[in-house]
Amino acid sequence: MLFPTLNFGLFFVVVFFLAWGAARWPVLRIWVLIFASYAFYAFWDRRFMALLLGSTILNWVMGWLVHLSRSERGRKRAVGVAVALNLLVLGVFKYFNFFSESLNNALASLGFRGDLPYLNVALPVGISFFTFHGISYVVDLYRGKLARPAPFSHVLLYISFFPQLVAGPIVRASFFMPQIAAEPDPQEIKACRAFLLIVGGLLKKVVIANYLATDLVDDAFFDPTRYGTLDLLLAVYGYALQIYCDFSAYTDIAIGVAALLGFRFPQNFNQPYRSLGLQDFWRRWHISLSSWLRDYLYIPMGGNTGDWRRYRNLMITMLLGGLWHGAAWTFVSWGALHGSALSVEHWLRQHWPRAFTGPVWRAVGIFVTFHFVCLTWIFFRAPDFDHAFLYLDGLTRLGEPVMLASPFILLLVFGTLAAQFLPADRMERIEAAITRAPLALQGAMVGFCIVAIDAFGPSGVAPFIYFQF
Amino acid sequence: MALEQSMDHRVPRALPPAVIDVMAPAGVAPLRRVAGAIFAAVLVMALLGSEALLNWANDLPISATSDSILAAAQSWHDALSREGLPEVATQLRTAFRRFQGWGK
Repeated sequence: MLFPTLNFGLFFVVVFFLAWGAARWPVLRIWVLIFASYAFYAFWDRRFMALLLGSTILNWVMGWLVHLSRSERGRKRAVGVAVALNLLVLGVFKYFNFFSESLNNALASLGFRGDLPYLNVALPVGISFFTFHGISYVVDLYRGKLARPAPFSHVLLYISFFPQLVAGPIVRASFFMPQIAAEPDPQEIKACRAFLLIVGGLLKKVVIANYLATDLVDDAFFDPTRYGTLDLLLAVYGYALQIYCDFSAYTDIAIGVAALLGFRFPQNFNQPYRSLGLQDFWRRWHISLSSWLRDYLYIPMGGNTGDWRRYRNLMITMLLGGLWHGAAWTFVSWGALHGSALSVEHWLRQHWPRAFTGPVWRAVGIFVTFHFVCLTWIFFRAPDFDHAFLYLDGLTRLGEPVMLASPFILLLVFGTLAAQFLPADRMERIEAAITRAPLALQGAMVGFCIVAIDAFGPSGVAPFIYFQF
Repeated sequence: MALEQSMDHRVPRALPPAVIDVMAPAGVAPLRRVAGAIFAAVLVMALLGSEALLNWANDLPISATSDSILAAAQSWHDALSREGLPEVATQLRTAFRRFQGWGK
């Protein structure tokens, strides 16, 4: 059930009225949301509902073990086992075949016969997200960010809550569990902001991301040998904006939907293509994942302590971040490129800090960062290394005729890029202008915008890119 | 908390907050008015998007229930077509297609 469909619209309206209708009975409200979330997941793939439930039971039990362990050593052991079991589940479903194939290939190249088996299992939708939510629950208990284990129903809702279930944002247990425990306040629904996020998200996904994909990016990446420098450069800009619009649209809609149900989600994107350097980029792109990796992986490994260890930790974090996105060496290379460049940037900032100040750096920094990120997107988007290198090769083919650049596509690419430089408080300004209208009129405007977006978009809705992760 | 503090030395620069609450400064409204706004949105979509509703009903798996839904969606669309309301979406689509093809 994709967000930009009538199925989801009808589902949400029913859940909205049922959940708020049960608001006077908090336990009933929680169970309404749990049933809605499992129904939402069943629309995707009912085979893996048991896996979702099993993951919840595992983390709830491990949470109690962490809490009941008397010694620090016991607590550490319990949290270690919990993290290992979560990663084992993720490894079996997402990475088993990848590692099998890689080992078989490595053995074959050494002259041995690789006979490691392959598993015939589908990738459960959202497994990367609900596994990280499970880890967050146990680790937050261990760190004392949650005072005591939550009731089972609360953990059930935290891990399965439908707006964030299949593609995030990654909401930490310490941020979300208190919201489940608190009584919802029907007098304080952040409706106007929620409407803005939902309509903006639909526009980004249905119109911008879809047309960038169908009219520009898909053709260029399918056969890069057909195109020259300008087309391929435009297409990689287009992909950078497509993946941004696609993924930020999903999380914007998720944040808006959760807000209408009385919950708060964290911000996930903050105009990432205006970043001054890669450190800045990772503070603006998929913030819930990058800060999760920082706090649950990078810092526990030692963080910034020691020169060489800092770079080792950065590389490990980014390699695993790449692998988290998909079981393929292209994703690992994407992580490796980011890790290497981040290490260089850390070194330069430490040894040559004056280079990162002043107006020249501001202009050059944004330009270089954007183009480096675009370069890495080629490895992220290409189905394999052959395609990625064909693409890079094509970027040097000067003088080829331009075939993909229509005025509409140029407007989409450069208009969306320019929007990255709008003021940071743009949402507050728009909201301030809209809230003058009565809420019913705002609702009617939302309805009209949805009809218009549906009319503008191509027929059918492509799945969100991050569903595959 | 103690663990948090003990880890702080590992990251000397000030870190951005782990969780940025995007909804923090937003204005609020009571449930009754929000429900009214959602009702208004659904009403506008039902009036102007009857063609999309009909397409959705056409795509439902075949069953007695979906036949009834399809018949209702068809009647609704026919009734609104007599008033010219689905034309709004058609006109928007035509204008957008013209804009898409501009300069080609």
